[in-house]
Amino acid sequence: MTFYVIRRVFIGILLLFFMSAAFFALTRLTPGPPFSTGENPRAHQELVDRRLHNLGLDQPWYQQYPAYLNALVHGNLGDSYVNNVPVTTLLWQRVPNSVLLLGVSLIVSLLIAIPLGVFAATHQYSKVDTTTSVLSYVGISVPSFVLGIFLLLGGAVWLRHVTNGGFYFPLFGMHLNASTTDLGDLVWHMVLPVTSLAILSVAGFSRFMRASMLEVLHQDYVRTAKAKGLPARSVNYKHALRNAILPIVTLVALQTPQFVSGAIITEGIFSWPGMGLLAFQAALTRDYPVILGVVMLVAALTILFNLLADVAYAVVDPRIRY
Amino acid sequence: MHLGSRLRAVALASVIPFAIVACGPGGTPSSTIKEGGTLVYALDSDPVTFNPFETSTVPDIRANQFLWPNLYQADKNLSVVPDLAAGPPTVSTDLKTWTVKLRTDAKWSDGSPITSADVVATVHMQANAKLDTDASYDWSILTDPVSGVTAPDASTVVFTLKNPFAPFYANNLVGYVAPASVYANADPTKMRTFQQDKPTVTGGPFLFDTRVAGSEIDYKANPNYYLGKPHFAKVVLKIITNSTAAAQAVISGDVNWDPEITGAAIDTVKAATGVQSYTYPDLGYFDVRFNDRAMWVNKSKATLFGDVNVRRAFAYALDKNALVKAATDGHSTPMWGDIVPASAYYDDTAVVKYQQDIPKAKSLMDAAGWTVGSDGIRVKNGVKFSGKFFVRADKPQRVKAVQIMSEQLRTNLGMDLVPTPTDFKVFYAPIQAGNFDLALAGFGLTLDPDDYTTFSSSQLRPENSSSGSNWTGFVNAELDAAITAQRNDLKATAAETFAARKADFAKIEHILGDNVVSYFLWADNVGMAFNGVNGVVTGNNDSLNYADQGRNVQIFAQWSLVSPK
Repeated sequence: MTFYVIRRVFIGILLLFFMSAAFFALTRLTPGPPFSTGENPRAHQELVDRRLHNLGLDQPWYQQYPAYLNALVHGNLGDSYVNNVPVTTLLWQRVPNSVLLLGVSLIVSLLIAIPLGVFAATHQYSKVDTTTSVLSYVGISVPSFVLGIFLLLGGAVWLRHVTNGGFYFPLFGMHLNASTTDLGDLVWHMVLPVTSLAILSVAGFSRFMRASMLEVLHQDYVRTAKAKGLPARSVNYKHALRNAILPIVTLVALQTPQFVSGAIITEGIFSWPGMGLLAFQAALTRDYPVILGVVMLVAALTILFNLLADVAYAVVDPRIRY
Repeated sequence: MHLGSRLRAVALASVIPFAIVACGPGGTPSSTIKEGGTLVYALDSDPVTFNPFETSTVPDIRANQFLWPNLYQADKNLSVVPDLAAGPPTVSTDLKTWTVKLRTDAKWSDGSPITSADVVATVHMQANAKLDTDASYDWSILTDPVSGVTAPDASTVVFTLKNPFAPFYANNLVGYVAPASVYANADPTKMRTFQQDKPTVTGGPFLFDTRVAGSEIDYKANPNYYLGKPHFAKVVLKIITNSTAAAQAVISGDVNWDPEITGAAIDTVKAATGVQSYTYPDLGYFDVRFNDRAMWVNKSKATLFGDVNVRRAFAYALDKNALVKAATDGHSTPMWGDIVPASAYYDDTAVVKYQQDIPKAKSLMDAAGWTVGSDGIRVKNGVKFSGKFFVRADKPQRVKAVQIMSEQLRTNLGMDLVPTPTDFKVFYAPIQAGNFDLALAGFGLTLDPDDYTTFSSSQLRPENSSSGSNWTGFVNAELDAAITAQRNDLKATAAETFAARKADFAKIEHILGDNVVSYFLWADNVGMAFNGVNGVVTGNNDSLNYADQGRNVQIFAQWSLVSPK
């Protein structure tokens, strides 16, 4: 196991190295200059040239890359071209907000999806199963921007209208105002974006859970447990669920890096100051260091959580040996 | 410097700002003014900086507008009026020396007086060749970036110009003033990061209070503001990244002021009750910019639109009003020149309006030697009338307009103009190099309609200028003379100056239209909406351009809330 982990870490570092080179080259090879002056046709060429020179962007990408890699190895992601502050500062401002939003939405969606998937599997072809399936497919099919806007208009506008201002959810942001530290206010602001993200996740997770549970329920050991006369509840939840949930653990582990990358569409609709919005704005303004910072952070976390998922698999399933 | 009798007053504007105060903000009766409360303002993106020298994007300018005083500012009809200045500037008999007297009651937030040294230091920094920011300043008209602006006493600033320059008033004197005590000794090469998070000394109607990155910025009323403490106790800028949410927020009253409502949200806000909403043409326009040269600059191709008859045929083949309405869903104002209707210089009789006349368009193409080929596309000397119609790929309205025009021109006239959506980062490259046939371009405008950089032959890019915006290749001595005239026409009185320049601009507009140098399309209609704000006054055509992007910051001290909370 130790050797396996060491080998995976080594491979992960190599992978990160190749990814950094690939993404670095991609950003530099995209036509046109970076940062906002490129958008302004009246910008003095002298100004643009000077800025490009100061940032070292007047050199070929392969000459810029060693300096970037050296800084990256030392934990320096560079400075934002737009905000003129270290990328790490921007990431630290936004990562907690995205982790909070996506973490809560994941917990909520798992709390709903797992029982729903188990129930659908144990009541296969029942009305509940059929209804769950239909709703799941609807949930999977609805684009996040449509769902988000509908929730915004329904939960913040329509609800306010029908209750004459008595009950509604906020239209935007994380807090009522900058000085608010009230947890209740934060939760109130999270309701709509979390609902939006959870609906999309529940649809996927519940289908996955149902399929996994059905597969386990047809295993011999489950049949044996039933033949022994164990109650259905014990068979389903004590024997079947513990095995059926393993793939979900992997799925959750692989989705965890998304907490950091944020949810671009949902954060945009609900003005949630997270990583998704930061990455989106960086892409619009071609803020290379920020784009690369987000990509490399997510890449590193994806590799890490892949490894953790595999290790966790071995821990919880004695049959697995590395 | 003794200017004495050599100076003659040039009353370039006639509005006296102090008159506004007498009858309350924006003409609102004093009895309706209520003190206190928080004005909530919607900002669509997090600003980057609070350093005025670095502000270059709209969110930056909007976030900074509450903090900095202007030397001069725009009034509701975009005329230039004093802000920190005590009155209009005086200009010497040779029209090269401009003298500005400052009001003496203005103070910075640290209590020190705002003096001519601050104005001079601001100009010196802006004109410093080493200034490293994304904002661009043009003080090249001064005889020298340092000695061209001086402060003979604490309340007098003297600008010395290389030559008479009428746009100097609107283009150079309307702008922020920053405290010399903070910025004069700052390193211009490091200005980009200097006090970008929090300014220490400001002088506008509000003071910086707190900021939560990505969420909001709070300001509090400046008790030392020279018009008196603003009626709002606080201003809170909420970062609302979704336009639907922002529009709904102003309808619900969560937001008091949304400065920019566009597209379908305009209709939603207009239909709402209890919301003051205004729609008006933006300060900018879109046009089809032809390559009017005979050949591409790299000589690889003869241009399609070098012949004026072809450009006129283009104009006669289209129904501009229907085209613009279809492309923008009616959220724009058709344009026939490069002066927006909100400008006092706009003259509807000067522009040349081409009504759709397809037979005439066809005959013009025939006259130009382009005959219809077997496939319906016109041909001349064996060369098809075929080219790329460039448009920015990220602008759906513009892409739609190009698609409509291409289709109509193919059907009506036999022009094969292929819509070519292009990433904005590379969009301008072929156009600025002069190797293109036509493109749909956009231009922002300043308070002064000076179109020197866009249409003077001295600004032909790349032939005569490396930074000019005249990409058309059009050269016309009469047009150049008219453009030069409007830049030099400074007369003894404001009325005379205005009349002379308006006549110059009328001539320019006629030449541009008659030669179809560009085919002007539209100005975007923008919406501004308020909920519970007193004192808002609109200009011509309901215009509130003056109330946006720091063009007039005194209004923030004049408006008040209907129900302060």
